[in-house]
Amino acid sequence: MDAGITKTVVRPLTAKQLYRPTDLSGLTFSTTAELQPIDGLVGQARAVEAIRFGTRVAKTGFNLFVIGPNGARMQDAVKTMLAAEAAGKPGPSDWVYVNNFADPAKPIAIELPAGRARNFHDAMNKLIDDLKSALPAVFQGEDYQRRQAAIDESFQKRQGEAFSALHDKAAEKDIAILRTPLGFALAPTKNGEVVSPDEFSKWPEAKRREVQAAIKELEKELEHIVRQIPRWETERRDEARQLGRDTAKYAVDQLIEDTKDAFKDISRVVQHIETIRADLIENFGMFVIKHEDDGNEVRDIRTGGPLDRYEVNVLVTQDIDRSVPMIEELHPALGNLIGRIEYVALHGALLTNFRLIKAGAIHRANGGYLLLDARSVLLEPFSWAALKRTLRRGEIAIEDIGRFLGLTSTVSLEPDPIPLKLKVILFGDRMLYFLLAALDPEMAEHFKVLADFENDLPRTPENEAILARLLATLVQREGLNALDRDAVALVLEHAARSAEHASKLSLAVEQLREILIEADFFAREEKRSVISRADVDNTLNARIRRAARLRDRTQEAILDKVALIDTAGTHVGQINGLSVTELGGFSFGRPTRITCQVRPGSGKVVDIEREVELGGPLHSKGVLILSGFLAGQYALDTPMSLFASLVFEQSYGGVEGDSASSAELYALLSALADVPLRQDLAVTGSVNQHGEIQAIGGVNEKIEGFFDICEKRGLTGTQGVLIPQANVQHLMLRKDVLDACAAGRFAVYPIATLNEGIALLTGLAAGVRGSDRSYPLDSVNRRVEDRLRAFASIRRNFANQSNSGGAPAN
Amino acid sequence: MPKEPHSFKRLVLGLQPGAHDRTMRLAVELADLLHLDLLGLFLQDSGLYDLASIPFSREFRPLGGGWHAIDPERLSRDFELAARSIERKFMDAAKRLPTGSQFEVARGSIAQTFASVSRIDDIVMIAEPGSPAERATQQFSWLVEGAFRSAAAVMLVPPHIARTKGPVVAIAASSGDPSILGAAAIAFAAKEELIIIETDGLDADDPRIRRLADDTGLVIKRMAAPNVRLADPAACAQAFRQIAERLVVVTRGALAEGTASAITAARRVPVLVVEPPGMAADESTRPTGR
Repeated sequence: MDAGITKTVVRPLTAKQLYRPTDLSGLTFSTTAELQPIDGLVGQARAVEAIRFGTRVAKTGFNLFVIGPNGARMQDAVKTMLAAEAAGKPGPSDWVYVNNFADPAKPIAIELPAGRARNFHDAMNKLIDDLKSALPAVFQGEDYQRRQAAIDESFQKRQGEAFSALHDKAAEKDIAILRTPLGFALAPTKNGEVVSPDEFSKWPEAKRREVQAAIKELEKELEHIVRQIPRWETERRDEARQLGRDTAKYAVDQLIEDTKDAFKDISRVVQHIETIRADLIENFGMFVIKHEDDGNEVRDIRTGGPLDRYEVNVLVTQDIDRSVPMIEELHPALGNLIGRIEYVALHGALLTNFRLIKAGAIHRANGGYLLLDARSVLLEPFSWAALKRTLRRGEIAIEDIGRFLGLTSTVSLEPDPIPLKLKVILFGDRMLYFLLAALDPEMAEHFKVLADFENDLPRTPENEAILARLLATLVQREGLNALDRDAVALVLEHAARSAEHASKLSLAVEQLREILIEADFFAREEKRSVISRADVDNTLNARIRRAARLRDRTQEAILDKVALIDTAGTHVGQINGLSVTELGGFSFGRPTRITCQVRPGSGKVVDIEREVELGGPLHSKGVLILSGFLAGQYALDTPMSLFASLVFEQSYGGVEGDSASSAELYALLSALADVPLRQDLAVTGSVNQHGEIQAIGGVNEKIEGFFDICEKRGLTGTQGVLIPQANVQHLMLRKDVLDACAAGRFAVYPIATLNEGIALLTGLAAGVRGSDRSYPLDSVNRRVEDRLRAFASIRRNFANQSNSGGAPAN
Repeated sequence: MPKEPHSFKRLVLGLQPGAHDRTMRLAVELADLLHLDLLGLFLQDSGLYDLASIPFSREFRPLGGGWHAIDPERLSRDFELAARSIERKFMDAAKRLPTGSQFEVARGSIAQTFASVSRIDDIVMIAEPGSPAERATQQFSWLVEGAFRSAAAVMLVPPHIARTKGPVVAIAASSGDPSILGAAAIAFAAKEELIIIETDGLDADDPRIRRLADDTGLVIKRMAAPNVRLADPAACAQAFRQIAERLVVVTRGALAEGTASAITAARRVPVLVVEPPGMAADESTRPTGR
């Protein structure tokens, strides 16, 4: 059967297939000002369900990990949802830290009803103020001073009387008590002066002995008195201390009762105030005016001034009118996350106390939601581990990382941990999530709920209407001019182009917002109060223009024939492939010449890119598929005796992806069949071993990249691009390309199989095997097969010769 | 108020081993207030050297574990160390004093040495030891004796001072009592009130007090306390009721012996004993005034 000779005709795509305009027929409006704004999430049913579930399950580990594409404004969307979820729920408790009088290194955390922490703080400050005046007043008062003086006097009197009696007794015997630099001595006197040694030696022996005996007796008494002094002093101190306690109690009791009264419903606070009462009474000495003798007393600097230790450190306080907190920590360093203990430098030492404990985001969010960017958490040393540790412990323990690292060796604090009731919501990109899931087994333990934001949504008229309302919301939120109907349509079409699919709409809200802001700028420049389609078009063009320096230089090189690309004529073993370059969020396509050389060999197709390590694995895979295709398609009864080399000409960077594999195959077949290929066409698409053309990415940019070159050289009407048929649904081409295609000056061909492509490129039928298992004469496939058989024959002959002494090549 | 409202030129502070630096600070403060030169006089009692030469002499050291023989060499060394320590404290306290300050060591009979060093335009300051044991020693008695034997005014400082702010009180027998001018000079310098307790009753018509108030701008309060026995603590408290004074000035001989010491003990503030007019020239007839 010779049916395979029939030439397959591929028709260019119509303008309708190249671009799908927006259908706003179901939405009546002239500008977005008339549209009902839409809040929350659009087209994110899966994520919404996950977030709703995650926020409502109040069990350990059911925290959320929200992932999605950049620019999806997931945080804003989640915040809106959380605000709705939290509405009406009671706010969490307040927390304060107070001094632990038993162990100042372990401050005590006290929970109070929302809004009461500040009251407690103020009440204690008032108490301190009152104490500052009341205590010194009572201790400076006449009554205390008199009683204290009486105690001192009693002590002095007791000592004085003892010494006075001794003094008098000694004086009676003409003996004086003398002070030596280190103690006391007794000396014989005469006329009020110590007897000189000469005179003493002249005294009769009996008198000397008498004096000596008298001194000896007095010495005993002196020693007895001196040894009693410490006991008398202890008694004096005890009496003075009791007087101080009584005096302090008198001054403090009423103030304490008044302070307690306001918090009698909070037992923990009452207990603390009682502790303060006991401490005040026990440490009344702080309020007594010190004698100058005591001026060198070392104060307890760790707790600051004498009354500072009665202060209240308000760690977290909630506005009584507000619901549950929703905290977003943009800088989740360890201290910002779990709180920190600060220090003050004093005399070269670092000191701290309970008043220097600072809350972290977890404290502030406790009882509500904490929103964190996963990447930021991971980039901060210790934060990720601390977050997991906090979630596992179920309480917030402030850790002084400086101590663990040995950076600070000073005395620190171990504040009471605070119970944790928190929903943590991490935001990140998908790669980060999947990497964490793979590498950190604890992540699944703590973040059990995944909310995966869609990149896009189906482009139905209903969804277009929803997105139009979303634009209205953005315009309202940003205070921009309204968009007219055509402007909305163009923005939605751009959303489809961004989604790389004519039937989808991108949900990259941030990108839409940027476009609206820029379009608003252009409208305002023109003194217009409504954003028009032209403004949006200007915006899109301007955005490309700003980013397109590299594209322009690349095209310039082609037009100047520095980079060799033919856009007319034919050539054997040479084809225009298409590649996409993406830099800084801007993508552009460009043609690349692919060439092929063949000769007899051992059945190897050499990818020069791979040989020089410029080709990535996907590209190499594509080339290997070519070998598979050849092996399965031609001269099945003959060993493959081909050596072919393929190269991307003038490609000096890396080549990756298999989107050029069909082009490479066309070049290979052209070289084998010795049939020239059209140079006014460019090709993109990958191919499988059965010769089916498969979809690729960046189809719009690739078409436009070749169009730009052709258009600049002058469109001939024959130029065009071969794309995989599967990519037709992705087409949202630029208007100038559309116009050229509509006018027949450029064409986009949908290709399903290799045969369709080779026929279009060569003008010859590809050929299908007939009943005799051979390809029709003059078909491309027949020529290829014949050439391969010829190579096999050459190789066989060569092998025979080599058996006689030669050696086969390759 | 005249530029030099008093005739004092120098403050002499008698110092012994164990002297407290609060006494030195007080002396510096007073010298600064009255623009006086300050002399710190460390007294080595020669009687101790005599005692050291008596065979059975020994000393009891409360912190040194009992009785030890008195060795003259050791005694000298201990005195030297004590003098050096006190000099350091004294000079440290006096370093910001704008007038002159000097520290001297004198050896001899304490009473004679102290009396001989002091001049008529001196104030000699004696700090009463905090310990009754110290007060019972002969040296303290000699120190007081020497001070009152001298031609100078004497300031008695209690072991613990109750107040360092407040009015200056003059106890005067009449409106012409020298204690009034002495107290006025200190009150003026310290920017405090002057309170006059008149022990012979108020002389309401006396123009001198009014003139003093006009000249100095001082707030002067007068209180009558006729026939009061200030040596009696109860009577003293009654006379000083509702007064929180920082200093009391009395005239030597105007009050019974021992009254100044009694006031010092009762009020726990320094008491300055000034000379009556004409007495300085005749030391032999001077009353002790303690």
